[in-house]
Amino acid sequence: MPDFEDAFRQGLGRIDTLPSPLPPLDASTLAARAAAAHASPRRHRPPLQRLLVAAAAVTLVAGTAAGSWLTWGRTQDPVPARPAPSVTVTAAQLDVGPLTRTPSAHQVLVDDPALIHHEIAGEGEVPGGFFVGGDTVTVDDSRADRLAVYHGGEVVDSVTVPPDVEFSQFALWDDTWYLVGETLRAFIRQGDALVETSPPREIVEAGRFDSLLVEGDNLVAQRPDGERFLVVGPGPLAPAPRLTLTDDGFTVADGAVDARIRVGGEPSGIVPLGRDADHVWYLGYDSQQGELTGLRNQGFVYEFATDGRLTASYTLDPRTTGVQIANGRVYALLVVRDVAHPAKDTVQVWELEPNPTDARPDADPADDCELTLIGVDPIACTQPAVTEQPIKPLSTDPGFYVLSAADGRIRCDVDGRRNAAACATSYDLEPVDPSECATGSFDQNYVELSQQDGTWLGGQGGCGGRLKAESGQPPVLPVDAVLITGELAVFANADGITVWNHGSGSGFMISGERVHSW
Amino acid sequence: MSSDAVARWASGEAASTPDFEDYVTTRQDVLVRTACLVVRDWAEAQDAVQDALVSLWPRWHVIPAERLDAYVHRTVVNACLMRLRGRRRLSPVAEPTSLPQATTATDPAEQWVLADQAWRLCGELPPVQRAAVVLRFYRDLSFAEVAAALDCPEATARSHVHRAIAALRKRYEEDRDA
Repeated sequence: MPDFEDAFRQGLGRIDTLPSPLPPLDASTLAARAAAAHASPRRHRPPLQRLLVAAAAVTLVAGTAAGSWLTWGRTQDPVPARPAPSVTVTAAQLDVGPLTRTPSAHQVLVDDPALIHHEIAGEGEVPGGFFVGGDTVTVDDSRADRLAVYHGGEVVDSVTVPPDVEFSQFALWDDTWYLVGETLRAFIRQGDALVETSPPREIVEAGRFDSLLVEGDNLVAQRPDGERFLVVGPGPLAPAPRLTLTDDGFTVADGAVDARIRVGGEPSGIVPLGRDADHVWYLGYDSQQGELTGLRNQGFVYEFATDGRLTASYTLDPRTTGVQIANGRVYALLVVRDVAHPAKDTVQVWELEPNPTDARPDADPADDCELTLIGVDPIACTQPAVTEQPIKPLSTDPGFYVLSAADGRIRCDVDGRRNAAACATSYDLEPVDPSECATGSFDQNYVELSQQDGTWLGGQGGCGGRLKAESGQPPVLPVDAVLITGELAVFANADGITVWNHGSGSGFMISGERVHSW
Repeated sequence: MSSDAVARWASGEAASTPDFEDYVTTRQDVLVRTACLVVRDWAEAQDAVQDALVSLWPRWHVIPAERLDAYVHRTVVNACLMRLRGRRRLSPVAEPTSLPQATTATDPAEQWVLADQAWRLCGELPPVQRAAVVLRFYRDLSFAEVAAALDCPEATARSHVHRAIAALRKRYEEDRDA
């Protein structure tokens, strides 16, 4: 018999002999499409997966302008585009170490699944922006071409956006609405609709903008080349900050702040969030490859006093798609997905608390915490104790647990965000029919079993998903203990484990050599 | 950067990241064919590649040159898997009826049948396993590179490939015996 792998290689290689039935991609057209998509996310939203926190929004109510707000879309490019190979640290430069990766504590202000729609192959699309002004939160409800105003978590008002207007950021200033897409357009409200008016002539002639900033009493528009224009306000403009991407973080120099900021992962970008009379805010973000969690993008907000001190920091949840500052507080827009039940996807707006001042900023907890799970000194992990849970989650994902049970004969990955779990076992069980698994999706009923006695295979998971039961020694879920994360409850006994999804009313049990699913 | 420069970059001679358009021009064919092996449909494959490249565009020049292919592979694979997840159970396995016979080795007839079977059975693999074997056996990536593309540890990538081949071999033998 011929070598199977060689034959398989030949079988796949046959595709090289086939002419593609499609015309080739035009590179310039694709580049233009990319530019358009990222300049106008209101009409061309990227899928939800792995959204980089590549944008921010800021509201600075600047004294007289009560109700003034501004928001950035998530498409602002990091500044600058190319990393610098090294940086010289001066004696006077403030050195800011990596922040904790544990998301800041928060309060949920808005939680509305209706803001997500599922029109494209089951993929949800997400709002392009939001703002907080006074006691209301306004979110771009692109589903209905409107801006929805929330108070107490309920929609209390809305304003219709003309359907031909594409925008990624917006601002309200002295009763005028400024929407930025390819260009800056100005609107006034008449009834529940926006009617276009004329922005300042020099703004119209300046061409394309990609961001708006509130700086004190000034509303500022910034072009992709970094040139800034005063949209409205008394002026003058503050000098543009000098932001540099380095091999381990960023540098910030704006006349008041001179800081070197280090991050735990690979630095991806830094953008200004805005300033008022006392403070200036920047958003830096990085990506980090976790052994168990894959590549994760995460953002960090740095608040500096105008004398250059770091006065507060915030760690964004990786699901954050936009950030806004209002009255000195940090707000975040998040898309919360449930892969197993896409209908449960939702959009939330959080008000963040500053990171604790004793949050061990020099620690880089992600890998340490993962190591902690396989027996390394837990003190190395900055993950706060979760007293109500019998074991700790991954540091990089508070809803994700890797655990073992039944004297190590069962290992499970339990993902409370996706409400999915996968277990592997060395028990000699009857295999579960793979046909029970919806191909390409997570299925909490699916138990993928190791076929190797006494050893664990890597890559266990729900039917093509990313759940993993890795080698190593994860923490033991104690007998009779119950772990609850998301909609999942996990219960361990002496010879098995039960995983139950409350939301779907389904689950599975491994008990001795029996496996059962509901 | 020209297409020649892309080739120099790909061979390691040039350290800087190639221009986006040059990269698209030079690499799209192999990317689309790779995606097609995963999603089993030309149009979906091209769409997946477009989605992947569009999503990478804002970060193009901050992606380290030496990791560019890994980033692209990972993003293309993710785009393919998302499309497959969107299909849920509705995904038919396209039969490559127009596939010509490949060059064969010692036993042309059996090798051809085996290759044909391998192609067909590949479509029955779970998407992640399919992506793993496509990257390993079509793109000839190392297990470390497959792991990077699949965003998983190397041991997991090895497991995906090992189990996929085991499943394919078992199915082939079952079909042959039947």
